[in-house]
Amino acid sequence: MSATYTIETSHLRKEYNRKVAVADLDLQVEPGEVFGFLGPNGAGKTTSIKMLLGLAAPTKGEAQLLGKPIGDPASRARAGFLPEHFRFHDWLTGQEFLHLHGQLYGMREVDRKQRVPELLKRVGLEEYAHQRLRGYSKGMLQRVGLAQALLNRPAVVFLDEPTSGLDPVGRILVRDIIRELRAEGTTVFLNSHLLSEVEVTCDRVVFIKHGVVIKTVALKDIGQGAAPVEIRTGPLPSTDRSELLNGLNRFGHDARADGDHFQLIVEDRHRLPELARWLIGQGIDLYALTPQHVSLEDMFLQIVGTDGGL
Amino acid sequence: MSIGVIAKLTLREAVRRKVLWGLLILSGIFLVLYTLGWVFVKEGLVKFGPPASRAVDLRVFYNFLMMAGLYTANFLIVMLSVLISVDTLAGEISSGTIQSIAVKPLGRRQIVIGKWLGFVVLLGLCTLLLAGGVMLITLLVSGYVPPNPLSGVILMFLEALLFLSATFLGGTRLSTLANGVLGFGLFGLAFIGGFIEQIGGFAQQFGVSSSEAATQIGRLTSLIMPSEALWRRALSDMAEGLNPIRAMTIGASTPDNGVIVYAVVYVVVLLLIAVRSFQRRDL
Repeated sequence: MSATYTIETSHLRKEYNRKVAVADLDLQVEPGEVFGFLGPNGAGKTTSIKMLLGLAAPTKGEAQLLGKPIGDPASRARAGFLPEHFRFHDWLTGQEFLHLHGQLYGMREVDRKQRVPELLKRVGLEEYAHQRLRGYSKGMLQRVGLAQALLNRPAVVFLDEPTSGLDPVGRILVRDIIRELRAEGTTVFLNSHLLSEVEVTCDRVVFIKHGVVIKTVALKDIGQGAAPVEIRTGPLPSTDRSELLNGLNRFGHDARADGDHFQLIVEDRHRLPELARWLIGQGIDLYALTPQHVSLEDMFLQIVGTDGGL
Repeated sequence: MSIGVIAKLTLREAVRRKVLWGLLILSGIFLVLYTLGWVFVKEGLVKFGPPASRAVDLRVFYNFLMMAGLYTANFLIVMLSVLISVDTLAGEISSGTIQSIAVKPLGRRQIVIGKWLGFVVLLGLCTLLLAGGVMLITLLVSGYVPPNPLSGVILMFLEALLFLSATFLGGTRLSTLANGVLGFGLFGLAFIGGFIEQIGGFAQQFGVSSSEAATQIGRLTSLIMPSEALWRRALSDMAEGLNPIRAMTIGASTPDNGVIVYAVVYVVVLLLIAVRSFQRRDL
C-alpha cells in the first residue's frame, strides 16, 4: 500500500454470516478526484463505504484512507460522510445539529460559529437554522446532512446517494457543491444511482458487481473506444446485403440490416474513416455514417447487465 | 471532550423522552399519595394517641412506613433505569443514527462511556428525587430520619447502575424489544431468587434441612444479577427494629459488604464488555 492515494484497498472482503457482501475489492482513488462508485442494488457499495469509514470491519484484505489504516481516528478527522439513509436527532434545530457534529469533529467554538452559518447558507437553509429537524422536508434533511459532511473542511467526502429525495434545484445544488469541492482539491467518493448526475460530475467511475470491480472508466474517455454506428446507404440488391454485413463485422460486431439502414458496433471509433473508405470502395452510395452517443446509463447496462442486483 | 459532548447529548435526549416524563409523573403521583398517607397516619396518631401506649415503638412504626415508600421508589428507579436506556444503543444502531456519530474522530469507547455517564447523571437525579423525596416527606411530616440514609440512597443508586450497565451491554447486540425483555427479565430473576432465598432462610430457622437448596438458588441468582441483594442490603442499613417490610425482605440473611463490592465490579465489568462488544459491532 502506498500513501499516494486518498483511498486504496487491496482484496477487501466482507462477509455477513458467510454471505458475501463484498468479495474482493481493489480500488485506488487519487487525491482531488471525483470518483463514482457504481453498481446495481446489492453490489456491495454501501458496505464498501462502511468499511472505508470504519463502521464495518473487513473480513479480509487491507485498506487505507488518507494514508492511514481504515478506522484510524486521525483519517476520520479529515473525512466527511453523508450516509444513504441519513438519520439524526430530530429534536435538534439545524444550527444545533451542525454545532453538535462540529463538536464531535473537535472543532473549536470560534470555528463553528463561523463555519455553521456559512454552510447553512451554502445549502440554502439559512432561514431554517432555528427550526427543529423534525419539521424539515426530506430534501432539507438531505441538505443539512450534506452540510454536516462538509463541516470539517474534509480532504475526502463520502456521499452515499446524496441526491436522494432532492428536487431538481437540490440536485443542481449538490452538483455545484461537488464542483466546488473538486476546485478546492477535495476528493469526492460518490455513490449514486442517478447516472446522469454521475456523468456530469465525476472524473472516473468504477462499476462493481458482487463486490468486485468489473470495469473502470475515465469519463473523459467515454466518447472514445467502442460505439454503435448507424449507416445509411443507397438501395442495395438483396444478394449484396449478407456480403456487406460480413464485411462490416470486420470493423466491429453485431452488424444488422434494416432496409437501407445498417447498424454496427465498432470496436474503435478511430476506425470510422477507414470504414467509410471501405464502404465507398465497395461501390456503395454512402449517405450517412453516424456514431451514436454512449451514455453512462448505456455503459452501465452493457457492463453490469440488465439483471441488476437480483 | 467527546465523552462530555456525548454525555450532554444523551442527557438532553433522555429529558425529551416521553417515557421519562411518564415515569416521573407516576413518581410525582406516588410522592403525593405517600405524603397524603403520612398526613392521615399523623392525624390517626393524634386522634388515637401515641402507639407507645399500645406497646408499639414509634420509631419502628415510622421506619416501616418509610420502608414501604422506599420499596415503591426502588421499583420506580429500576423501571426508569431500564426504560430510559433500553434503546440508546439498540435504537440508534437500528435506525442508523449512530453512523454519522461513529464516523467522527472519536473512539466507540467514548460513545458508550459518554452515553453511560449521561444516564448516570439522570439516574442520580431520579434516585435523589424518589428515595430522597420519600425520606424528606417522612422527615417533614414525622421528623423521623432512618439510620444510614445516605448509604441507603447510594445503594439504591448502585442498583440502578446494575440495570443500566446490563441494558447497555444488551443494547450492543440486541434489538430494543429484546433488550427490554432482558432488563426486566433480570429484575424478575433477581426478585424471585431473593424471595426463594428468604424462604430458605426462614425454613432453616425452623430446622428444615432441605431449605439449603433454596438458599443456594437465591445466592446463585444474586451472582447473575445482584440487584435484589443490594436492595436488601440497603434496607438492612436503613431498617430499625423488626418491622414487617424488614422481615419480608431481609429475613434471615443480611447481605454483607461483599455484595457491594461484587455489584461495583459487576457494573464496571458489564460496562467494559459493552464497550468491547460495541467496538466489534458492524454499524
